[in-house]
Amino acid sequence: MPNEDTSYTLWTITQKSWSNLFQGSSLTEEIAEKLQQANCAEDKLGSRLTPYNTPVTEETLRQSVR
Amino acid sequence: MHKPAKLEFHSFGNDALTRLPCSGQVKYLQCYLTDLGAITAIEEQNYFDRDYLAEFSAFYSTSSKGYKNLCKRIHFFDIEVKRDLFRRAAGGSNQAQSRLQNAYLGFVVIRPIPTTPLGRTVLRWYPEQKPNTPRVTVPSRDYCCHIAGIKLSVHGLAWQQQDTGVGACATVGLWSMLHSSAFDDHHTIPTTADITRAAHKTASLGSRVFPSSGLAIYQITEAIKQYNLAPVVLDGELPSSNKGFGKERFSSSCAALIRSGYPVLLIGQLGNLGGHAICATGFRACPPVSCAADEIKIQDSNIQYLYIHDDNLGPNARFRINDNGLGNPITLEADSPPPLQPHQHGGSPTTGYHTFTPHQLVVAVHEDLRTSPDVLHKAGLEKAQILCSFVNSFFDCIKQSRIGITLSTRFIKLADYIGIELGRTLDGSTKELAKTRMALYEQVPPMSLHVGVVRIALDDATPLIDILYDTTDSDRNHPVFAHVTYNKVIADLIQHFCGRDNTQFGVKVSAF
Repeated sequence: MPNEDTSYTLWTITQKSWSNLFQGSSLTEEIAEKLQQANCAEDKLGSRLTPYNTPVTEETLRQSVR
Repeated sequence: MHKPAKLEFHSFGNDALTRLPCSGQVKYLQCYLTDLGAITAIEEQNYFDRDYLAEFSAFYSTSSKGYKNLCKRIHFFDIEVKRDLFRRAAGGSNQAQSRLQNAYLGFVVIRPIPTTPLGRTVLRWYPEQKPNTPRVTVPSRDYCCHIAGIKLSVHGLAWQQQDTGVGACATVGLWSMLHSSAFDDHHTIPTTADITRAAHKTASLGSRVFPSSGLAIYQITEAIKQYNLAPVVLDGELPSSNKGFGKERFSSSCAALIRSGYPVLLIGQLGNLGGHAICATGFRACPPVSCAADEIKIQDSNIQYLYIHDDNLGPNARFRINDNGLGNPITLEADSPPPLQPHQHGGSPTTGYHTFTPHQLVVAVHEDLRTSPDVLHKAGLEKAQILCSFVNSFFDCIKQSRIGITLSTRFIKLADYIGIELGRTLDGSTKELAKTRMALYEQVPPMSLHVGVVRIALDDATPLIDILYDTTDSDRNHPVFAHVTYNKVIADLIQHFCGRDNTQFGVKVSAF
């Protein structure tokens, strides 16, 4: 079968397929100064983390699987 | 008394599997083997199976029915194999042996239990058609068989039918889990009889051991502990009125665990039939989807298919993950690919199979691995958000469009991360690979045997950074060892915003 699969996952991509979004950019002193004023502390995740805090209850552990 | 018996050579379809009473599992195996291109079946009439002998010793030997202790084992090949070819292989011909090995599809043990005859079964996976978004089957391992001095090996994960004498569905699911390649250097694989005894050793509460009609979840976790492994239980986050998991947490947790070599026991509701347990042994990887500006996505939340050992069906059954919308639990639906060959055995038993709603995930991990997948995902989302803010602030300054980013997580042995994973990611960059590997050994404080890896990338999968977490501390501490950056701008941004404080991202290692 021909391989028509041209997408990669984060774990299968190799260097020759990387994109060069940052090519020609660098963090100069001038940009670094501007960045001092940037607000990077904003929490944009909100309730996104809530599902990952689900506790396991005694009731769950007592369930029987037949 | 047992008598000697000749090996029998049959064309596929006229073998001992076909002669068994028709059942969903027998039909499933016939359909699976047809699609693998099975042509010949070789039957060992006399085979002592370790698992069945343990079942026999624990239960069947004292039954008045007079069960035998001898099984049959059937080996399948995708070429015509005649006695002459086999004889040449047995005589030491390398050519004949490699011909048999290349054509070997796996084996099925037939137990002398009329109602549940299918014992240990290992079959090869279908050939991979999409290597860039592959089927992830890390828990699979090599099984070697020896017939008349001929060694044959098959890569897969063992499945068997539950017999309800010695093991129920949870027992056989747990048995498949403990076969995982992740535990190859850890223990002797227990039999189903061993597992049922282990489940009752400290948590029996008066119930009888054999016949085994089922296990409570605490018995499953106690059995895992008996093998010096640690149980991880994830409960569905949706409320009890609508019990189950949302798509992102379910898919990303299963993917992270399976990619780490740990099969996942899924416990939940099978249609209207009641509770059931099945074992997820693989999944089809997916590429990241495009992200809007400032959006953070978990790559694996989009996986579509899990491969499951279900004792009602058979090994490696493909199930689609149905996203039923916000607030509704995901469901799994058997969804076999279209047959590659015409099936002579009627429709596939996966057609019309009941929908399964997972309520809990139970996993056996190494004892030293104390971090849960939930904690690694939370850490990954938090770090991805921080990094996205850094990058987009930088892009604002240089008048470039803001981006969103994606992440994926896994647990991995440190040696495999440095050896295999970095080797693959930096393939072709000898200098960068050497520098990165040396820095991880020489500049980072001693790291744990297993590390938690969060990989953060652009939405076309181009990696930006790997963050390596200690897995041997408590979830509350969850220290970072190091971060490996694949891009100078990213490394400079982290240095700029975090300075010398390496508690957030750990020691800086440059892979560029």
